[in-house]
Amino acid sequence: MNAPEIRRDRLWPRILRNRAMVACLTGLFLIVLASVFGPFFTGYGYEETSDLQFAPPSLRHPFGTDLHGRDVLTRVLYGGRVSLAVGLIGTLVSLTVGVAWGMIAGYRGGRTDLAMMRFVDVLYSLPRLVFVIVLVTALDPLARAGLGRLGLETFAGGARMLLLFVGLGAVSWLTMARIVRGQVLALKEQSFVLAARALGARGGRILGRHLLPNLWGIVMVYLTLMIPAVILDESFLSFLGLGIQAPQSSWGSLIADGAAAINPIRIYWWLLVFPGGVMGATLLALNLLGDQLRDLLDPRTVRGRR
Amino acid sequence: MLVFLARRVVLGLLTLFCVVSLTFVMMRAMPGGPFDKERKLPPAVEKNLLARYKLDGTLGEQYRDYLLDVARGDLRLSTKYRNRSVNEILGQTLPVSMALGTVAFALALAIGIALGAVAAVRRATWVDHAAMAAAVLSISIPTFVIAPVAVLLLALRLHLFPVAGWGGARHLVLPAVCLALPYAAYVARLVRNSLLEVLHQDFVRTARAKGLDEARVVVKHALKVALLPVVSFSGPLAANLLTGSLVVEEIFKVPGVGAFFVNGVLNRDVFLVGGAVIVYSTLLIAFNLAVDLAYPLLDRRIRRE
Repeated sequence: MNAPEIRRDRLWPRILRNRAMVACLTGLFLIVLASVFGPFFTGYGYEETSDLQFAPPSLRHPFGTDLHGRDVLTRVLYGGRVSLAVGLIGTLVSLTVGVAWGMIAGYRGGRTDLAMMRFVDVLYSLPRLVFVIVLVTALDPLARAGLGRLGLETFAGGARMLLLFVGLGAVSWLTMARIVRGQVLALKEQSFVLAARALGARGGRILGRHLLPNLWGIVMVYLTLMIPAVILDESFLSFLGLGIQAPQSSWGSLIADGAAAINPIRIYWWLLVFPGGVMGATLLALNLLGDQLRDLLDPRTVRGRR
Repeated sequence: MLVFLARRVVLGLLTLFCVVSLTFVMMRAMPGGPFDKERKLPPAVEKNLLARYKLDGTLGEQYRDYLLDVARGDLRLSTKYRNRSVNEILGQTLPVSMALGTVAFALALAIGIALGAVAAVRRATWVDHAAMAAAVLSISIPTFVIAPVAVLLLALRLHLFPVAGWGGARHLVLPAVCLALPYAAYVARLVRNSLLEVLHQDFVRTARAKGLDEARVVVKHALKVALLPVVSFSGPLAANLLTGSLVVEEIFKVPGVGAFFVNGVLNRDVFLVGGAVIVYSTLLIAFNLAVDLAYPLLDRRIRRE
């Protein structure tokens, strides 16, 4: 006996009928495409310097150049790879931990639940970015040593990215765990779970086959809303000088450079507007998508709108 | 009531204890000590330093002594800003962050509630769409983009406000608005959703049927209930805003507590980070408790177990 699943077959047509969602999906697709393949076609390397400092946008450099004469378009596209990767992988880390944690706490109940959720409460009481900073600085030499042992010293920049995945994932799973736990608490009392148990299904099977499919909707919604949050967090860290290190770039580090170049005499607006605009557009599309998805999947908001 | 209060306070203290322990362990487990310099210190000097800052002895002893000191309200000396105690540093910087945070808190609630209520009442009109577009936009654009642009336009070009610094009320405007904006957007969305739901409930229909004008129905009847989610959000919001923003304080050169959070970690300043985290957690726990206490007063439908 299987759990009554959300009718997935009807979701995609509904998404495709929604013009705002189609626009968001198209925009995101283009940004991802440009970030992945764009750097090959701009004609410059992301760390390639030239004598052309602070050149305003022109045909040769559509987004202008920065302090070291690097092409800003290339750096924005390359930064997109980094920011999107951090957002995606950080979210996946927190998704896995959060869903597993919430499901086990909610399903087991009792003391296990109490202990697990108290732990979440404690982590909630820590200032989240400070926690990430501590994690990143604490694990930094470890990650470097690990890469060195594997003979991968050239990927020192990669170590920083790895740490960001772990660090940002480690602080973002808390909300997911709470939401999933709440859902599981409500779901496990329903008759299909009882029926499955009566038929002799074990805990693992009930969680995986019966509860997980029913969590799919709410998890998808929070997933789309979590990616922009993680990208934003990464950008804050980069802005504080703790994220991606030069000559690599992320949207956050580029915006930080742009903000640092502001002075009363000359205004290098392109250093701020282009990375900020692309990042803003991405986050906007993801946030809108998440909102719309919630309206589609959450029956309560649908009723509220009528 | 008293039992509830007592239980929550004990629980809060327990959480705080865990937070302090976690911070201490993480800070001490970090590679590199507070006195590591390019040049190695002579062993005797290092030993004296460690003793002065109470970082000698086994980790267990250090931890126990630290907990005792914290319980006595002594947050110890900063290892970076020599001869200044953490109490002193926090005493000087926290009021600045709190002043800025209070203004930002009031702004976030005022803008958010007004915008959300108008959007809900004028649902599916251009007012609603414009308000919600503005809200998503200010959530999606990071503060450190908005802030420099605001400085560029309003301070450098139009000379309406000082570029940065701290002093009079004029210094407060730009950082407070930048700090409040994303939270105001969040509050606006919260209010709109919850007001839309409330406006369909029976008691609102009754109020309308009594012949009350729409403004009174919304403000006096519906909004009162619709603001409950905002009340619970205001707990963490206040804790976040009052303890300063790392980014806004950095951009506007506000001498608040934010910079010490970051630099403290980088300098392995165990006790400074510990003190800052304690302040943050205490505020968060206290505000959440206050919210839970206020909740039944605002919503009579809720009974405490």
